Amino acid sequence: MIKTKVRKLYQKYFLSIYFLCILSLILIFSFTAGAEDIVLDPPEYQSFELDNGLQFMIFPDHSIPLLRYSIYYNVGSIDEKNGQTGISHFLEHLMFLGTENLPEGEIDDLISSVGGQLNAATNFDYTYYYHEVPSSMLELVMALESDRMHNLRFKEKEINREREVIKQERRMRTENNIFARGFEEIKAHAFKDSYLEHNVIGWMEDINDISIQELQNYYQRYYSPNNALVVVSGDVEAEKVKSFAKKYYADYTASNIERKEFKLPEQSKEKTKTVELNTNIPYALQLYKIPPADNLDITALEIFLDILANNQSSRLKEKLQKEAGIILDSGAFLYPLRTDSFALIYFIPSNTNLVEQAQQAFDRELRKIFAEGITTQEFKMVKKQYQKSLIFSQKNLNSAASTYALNKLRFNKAELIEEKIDFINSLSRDQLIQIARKYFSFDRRTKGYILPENKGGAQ
Amino acid sequence: MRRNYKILIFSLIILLFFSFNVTAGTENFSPDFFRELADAVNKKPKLEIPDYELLELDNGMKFYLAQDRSLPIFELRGYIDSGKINETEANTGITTLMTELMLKATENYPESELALFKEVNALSLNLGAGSDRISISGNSLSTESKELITLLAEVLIRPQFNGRHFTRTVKEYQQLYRQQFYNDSALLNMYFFKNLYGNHPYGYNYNYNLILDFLNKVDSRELRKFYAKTIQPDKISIAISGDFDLEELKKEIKSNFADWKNNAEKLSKKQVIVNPKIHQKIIVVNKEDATQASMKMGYNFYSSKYPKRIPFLMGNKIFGSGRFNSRLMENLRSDKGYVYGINSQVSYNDYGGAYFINLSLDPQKALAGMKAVREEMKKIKAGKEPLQKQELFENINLYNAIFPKAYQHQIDVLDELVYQKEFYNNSDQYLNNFINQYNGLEVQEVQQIFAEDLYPEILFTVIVGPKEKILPQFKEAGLKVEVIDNQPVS
Repeated sequence: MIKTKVRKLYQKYFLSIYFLCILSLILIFSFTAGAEDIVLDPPEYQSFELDNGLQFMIFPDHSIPLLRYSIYYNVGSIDEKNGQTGISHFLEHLMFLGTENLPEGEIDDLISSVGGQLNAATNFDYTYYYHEVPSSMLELVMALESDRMHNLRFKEKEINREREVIKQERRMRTENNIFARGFEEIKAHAFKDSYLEHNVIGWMEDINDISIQELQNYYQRYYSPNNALVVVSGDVEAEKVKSFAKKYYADYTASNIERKEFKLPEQSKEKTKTVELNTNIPYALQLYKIPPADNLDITALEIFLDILANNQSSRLKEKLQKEAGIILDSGAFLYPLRTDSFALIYFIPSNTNLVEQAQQAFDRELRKIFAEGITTQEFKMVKKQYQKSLIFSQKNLNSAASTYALNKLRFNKAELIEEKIDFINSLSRDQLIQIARKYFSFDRRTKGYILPENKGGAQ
Repeated sequence: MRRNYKILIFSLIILLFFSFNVTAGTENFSPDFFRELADAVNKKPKLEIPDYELLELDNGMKFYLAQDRSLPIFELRGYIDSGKINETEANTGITTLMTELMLKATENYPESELALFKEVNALSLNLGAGSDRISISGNSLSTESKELITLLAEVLIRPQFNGRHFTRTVKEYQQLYRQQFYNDSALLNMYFFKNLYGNHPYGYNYNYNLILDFLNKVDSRELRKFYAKTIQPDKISIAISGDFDLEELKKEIKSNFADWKNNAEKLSKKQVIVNPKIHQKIIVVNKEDATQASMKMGYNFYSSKYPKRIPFLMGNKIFGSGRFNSRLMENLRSDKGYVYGINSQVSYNDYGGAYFINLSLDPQKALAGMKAVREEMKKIKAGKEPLQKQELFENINLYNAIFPKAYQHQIDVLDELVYQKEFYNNSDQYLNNFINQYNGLEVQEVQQIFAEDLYPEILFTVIVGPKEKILPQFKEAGLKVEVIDNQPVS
């Protein structure tokens, strides 16, 4: 009896059930197709900390007999005072001029003699030094970096000679590069009176004026164990690193580092800055304030900028370059730091007469994407590329190690990348647009133009 | 009492032991201490040559296939045996324009659709227009290997030169080449190489005026004609490494490329003729707004077939690798503070190469910098400061350390293998032979070969910078200088 009833009901509602099943399948399929999850295969690593606060991260990979030893100091150009811009980078140069125990040139000679390489780089919010050496040379590089952390030598003659080298570097990389020079001025205008006003290289007058005492004070304040992170990747055993860490770093004392307040002023009105230079092609830049690198919104902004400006099929390239022919190229970068930071979106108008038209078209595209959102295909595409880049990054352990290290150095959150991926996997297209709208609004931007000095010039 | 003494002494010993342990490392720091730690001779590496299968199609197109399942990826690298060498004065720049357009649109995929196809499938594919060859590189996840092969076939076999993308790209190129007249290093390269290579395609390609002349008159038919002549299956060799099924891949390759036919047209190539008139010549390209002087000094050099390439390479590393302990860096940066960076380079081409030194310095120190470079060369040439055993050891030791890293991934080894085998007739063991050869070098041999081919007396120099700051020093020294006022093209 019951069976008969069920059968009748089944027959009555067969079509409805059938369509419901089909509909569910379509819904399930479209949901998974639109939101394929990004999967991360995190690298294995070990970490420890000495009593003086010096932190270590070790990423073993025994495929070749080489190791990379990097030491990151949590200091960069954002930490500099007015009148001392460029001091972090200046100090980076001095780190190669010898210590109380090693004459100038000896560090390089020692590393060269073992078939190694060393270099360094200064950033907005950190400075790092690295050695790439045969794995048997772990103790050498740990001892050398320990010596440089504590016993740097400050000799007037050498420092003044290096000052000239730094000035060459500034002239070469900033002053004689049209985009770099224009960008420096536009950024200074956008972030006037803030820690982002100057670039890492510093202003020429400050490079001229920085005193030896100031360099020495800066070194003593920031090059302390509690302000550093050591990352060793490659053919290395964690136990050996631990043992040498105790031997070469444990007796250094932590220092009290007082940081200034990092606050970027709120911008409520659009600003504009034009720089005239000896160029044929004009450049248009838009600068925006963005939150620190540990804010998950940053991940959404990265995706948004790929869709807007970076991809070959991005909105700007499709509409402004391919369809209208009014720009030569477009692109965008985020500069995420431990503090509030900035994003740059640029396009290159096809000629000076098209600057205004290109700017209007850019604004239109931005409004349109804010109003209409992004397509499922666009979202899927950037996620696919994100997944690909994660897989390809496994080819190079050093790059994964540096991502983990920076997150540790800045926020003591080495696994931030994992949070970011979870965030992307849960992000909807609407949320992405809401986040982009929050940071890339017109009243919060600085428009910058690098234009030819002689506007009647080559077109 | 005695017991207390014992306890005291014992405690002191323990205290001493611990304090020694804590400070032992850092207190011992001295040059000797570090030197003792730096006692390493790296083993001569031996690279593993991938087990590949060569698939040669009837049309002569070759694929070197080697599986690597370590990651779910698919990578390809390859070469087309044609390039800028096949250009004439009248079509200078055509190879670069053609390769750019090949990547933009095909007969089956208009520009926007092709960009979308690449990005939906996360495919990367590039062509690079080189002097003697066009390089190919691409990658994808292994799940999209089929799409990458399809894309490669589209780009190589069915490029679309006609259409809006053609007109727009030509306009974009015109603007980009006009911009070169505002760029210090582009100007430096133009005046250095067009003079060095003279009336030869290698030289034409640095002459932005010639390229602009060509761009002003080019049409898509000319590109199509050049394409038909230069891009043919029997000129192409491709290395593929990654996570793939061999049989399926071979099937895929055949179905995409087997029907592609060759064109019988032969390509002309000619040797560079050295022009002795440029020897010792100094050209100053006036760029008023430059705050730094960019400089190149050099001369014509051997082709890629130079038999003493390896000892010369090692000698040149000692002289100008750009590392702090190279001769040029030690003198011009560490001792004199003239430069931020300086290096010497060899550019080998199949029909004539170049040897040159790159530096950038304060315009008022241009002559001092030039002289310092020449002096460093002379010290080696005359044997006053010959290359040292330790210097050679350090460079060999470095190569032994970094070679395994440079060729850590199978695709890099396979790429080099294909290049050496196809174009220079070298064996599969080329890289290991290279390692054996530099490891077998003696410093006397390196000194002799390097000194033999150093010619400080004929250095041709180009300086880009503000002439009012550069010229007085040359005038004072009584040196003749040709001044060129930079004339941007409109």
